[in-house]
Amino acid sequence: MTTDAAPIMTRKLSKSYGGVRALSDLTLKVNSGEIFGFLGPNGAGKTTTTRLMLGLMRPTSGSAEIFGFDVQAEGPEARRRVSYQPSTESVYESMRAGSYLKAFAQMSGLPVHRTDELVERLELDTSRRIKSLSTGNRQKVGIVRALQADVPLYLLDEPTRGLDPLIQQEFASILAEYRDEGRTIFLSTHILSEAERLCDRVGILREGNLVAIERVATLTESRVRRFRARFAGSLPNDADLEGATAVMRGDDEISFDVTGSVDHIVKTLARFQVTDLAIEEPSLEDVFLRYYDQRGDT
Amino acid sequence: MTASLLLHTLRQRRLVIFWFCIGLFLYALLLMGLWPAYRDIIDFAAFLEGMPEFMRAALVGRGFDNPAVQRSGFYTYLGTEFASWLPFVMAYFGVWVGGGVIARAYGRNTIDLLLAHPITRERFLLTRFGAVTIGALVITLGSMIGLLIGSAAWVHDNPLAANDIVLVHVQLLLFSLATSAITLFIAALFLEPGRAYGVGALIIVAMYVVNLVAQFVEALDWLGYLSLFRYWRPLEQFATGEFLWMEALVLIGVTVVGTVLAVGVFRHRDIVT
Repeated sequence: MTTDAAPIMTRKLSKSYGGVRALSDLTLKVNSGEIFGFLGPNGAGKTTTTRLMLGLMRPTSGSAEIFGFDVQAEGPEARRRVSYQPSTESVYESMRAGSYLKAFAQMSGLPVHRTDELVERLELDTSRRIKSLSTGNRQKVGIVRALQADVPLYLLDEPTRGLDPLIQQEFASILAEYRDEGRTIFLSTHILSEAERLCDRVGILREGNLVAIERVATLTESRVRRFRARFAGSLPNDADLEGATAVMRGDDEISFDVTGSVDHIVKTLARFQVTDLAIEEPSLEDVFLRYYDQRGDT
Repeated sequence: MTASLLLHTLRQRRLVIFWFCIGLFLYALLLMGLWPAYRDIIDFAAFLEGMPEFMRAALVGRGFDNPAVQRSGFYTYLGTEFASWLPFVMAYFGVWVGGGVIARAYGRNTIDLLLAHPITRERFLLTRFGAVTIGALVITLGSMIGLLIGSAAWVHDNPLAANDIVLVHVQLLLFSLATSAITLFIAALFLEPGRAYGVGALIIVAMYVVNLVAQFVEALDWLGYLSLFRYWRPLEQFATGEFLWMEALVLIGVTVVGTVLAVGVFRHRDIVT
């Protein structure tokens, strides 16, 4: 291991189950002090990748290193630098949240920090038994358990599942603080807006293949939003919808797609009496397709 | 960290261990307390003598081959009411708790959290098996203390030597650990709790049947050596006062081999919950 080894480095990492290839030749480097989003639809291979990085699975081929330690050959050394949160925190139902956090802090053997602060900021009632907690509160237990470890790398699998928007916001600011302290966060998600909000860079995984690594800003520029607007009267045919594609007009409504900046379109619409407006986030599949259309890769 | 994992495992299993321990303690006490009443009502030696051979073997196994046991109503009482079903209790504990070292955590999806810690799988498994050993020891102590107190208080016609009571419970502990290790290996193979417990229990029942059949079919006598029940011989211990070293060594061997195989399999398993 070198002192400047990357928090995560995979080389041609592959995993097959039977004849099914869950992950193909993943070569990836995640840098220190960044929040890296691992983006892909369900079943794309995100969880498989995370488990390979933790040594919970053996790769069919290739290797994964955490801070220069091979996760298969030097598993404990690698895991001494990592804290992990699975997508669904499986907990000991009968324990109180506080006891659970304490028990795992002891069992993990990792240094612990900020537990009380995290509990307070995420508004977690640690006196309650876990079986009485809602899905969102259980998720908070998992987040606190993972983030209370004072380590340089966090592997978080769908961490915001079930959290309400205010807590998601708080979670985002906690992650930003961790990043600013020089820690690295590897966050897998299938929600594009979450990756945009939380991450510095994203890797896009599709059917087990890493199809792109981009800065979030770049991805946002190529992002497509679908507008649906309804008007008090009819929209003049000569309305300037520059930049809009897939335009469909009705008597008093219109729908179209906009790529990148929406500033011009919003200003155009504002000149008319809008009675209803919906802006839909595209599916990940749409993002992939448009992203590659633009690059001419498909 | 290992100590924390050990304590956590024991804490998770504390109720099972406590109730098994209390149950066996009270049962041993009750058994000894009832002996004076039974002695005056039933001649256990004659009762067993008159039984069909198959049923007698099922109740007291090879223990009745020993002349000292045949002559003693108390030993036959112990054989039928205590020694015959005690291994099933300990095997049940072994399958449930031994297999649960992996299968329970796998079934609850907590195994990935536990293995995501900086611990090798070998150490994880051996630490958890250490907790099983402590649990089995506590339960065995419950039975042993019950028998020691009970026999001292109520059994004056056939006093049981404290030394023999202790050695019988050493046998019992080893028997329990052997069943635990076998189920641990099964759990490492299958991971899934239903299959681990099911196959583990099936193997224990099969070994009991094999041991029974081996007692009747001379040609299959060798088969009995494949059964753990062959090595559980408390009546001989009580009757002769000699520790059955060979039986103990076999049980220790099964425990060691089962655990080593479990570790070998488990260290290569993919954890997919």
